[in-house]
Amino acid sequence: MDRVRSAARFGPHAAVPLALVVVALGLCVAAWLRFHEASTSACPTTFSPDVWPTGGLAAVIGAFLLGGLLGNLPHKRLAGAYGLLTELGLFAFVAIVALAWGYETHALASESASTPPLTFFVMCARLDENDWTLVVFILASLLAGRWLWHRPGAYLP
Amino acid sequence: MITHSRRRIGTIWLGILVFVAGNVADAADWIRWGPGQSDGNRLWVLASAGLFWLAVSTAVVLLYDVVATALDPDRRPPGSTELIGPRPLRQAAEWIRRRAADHTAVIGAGGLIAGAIIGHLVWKP
Repeated sequence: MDRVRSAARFGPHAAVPLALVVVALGLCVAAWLRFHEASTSACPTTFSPDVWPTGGLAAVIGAFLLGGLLGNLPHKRLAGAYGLLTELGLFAFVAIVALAWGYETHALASESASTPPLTFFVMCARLDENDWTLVVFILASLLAGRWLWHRPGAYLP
Repeated sequence: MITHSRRRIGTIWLGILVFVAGNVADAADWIRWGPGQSDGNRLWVLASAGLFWLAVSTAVVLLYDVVATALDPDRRPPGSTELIGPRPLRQAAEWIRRRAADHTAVIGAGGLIAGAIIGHLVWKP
């Protein structure tokens, strides 16, 4: 029984999420190797706003709409339990979000140059890695569209 | 099997208690995040702390689900359409849920536009 459960949990369907986890870990390691000694002294504290629609804005809005349309793809009806891995993943994600908000609140309140807010690092990333910043915003917009603009779609037979 | 256990409902109330108590403690300055909590940044600090407590209270409920699922692998937490709650809130929550379900596209697009406007005009790192 346990072997059947284990096979259901780690079957071929787990390949895509596992590949995403490996890619994400690889990106984290690469980012750390490249930027762990980077200085933030040259980072801007503000950008002059661009009043005209940009290609980046169009891509983010397009990703939001695409996320909503993804709900129309046929998908399997969930028959059983969500599973421990799903629950653990959700908990880990929300715990990381809580840590990030805790740091942001502390940084905002401390008003110290040694603990800059997360928004400051977003400015740094925007300056140094414009394309990666756009990729992250597109992915976030895709997820937001899939989640906020959910359409039930059709179930596979 | 969908689980509407008394313990889970109790855990949801514990999460609500954490959220309310944390925000009250911040507003009353019983919790000190730093000097910016008392000056012109106070609104932003309290707003950020409010989202922190929201994330913590959500994590409390999710931690219960992790432990309960580890103990009973066949257990399934209720989805958004199956949630039950205290009687005074249930009707209002159901009304909001139905209206929101009918207008998800408007809500999603409104959130995106509002976020873009607020980010453009108000965001001051």
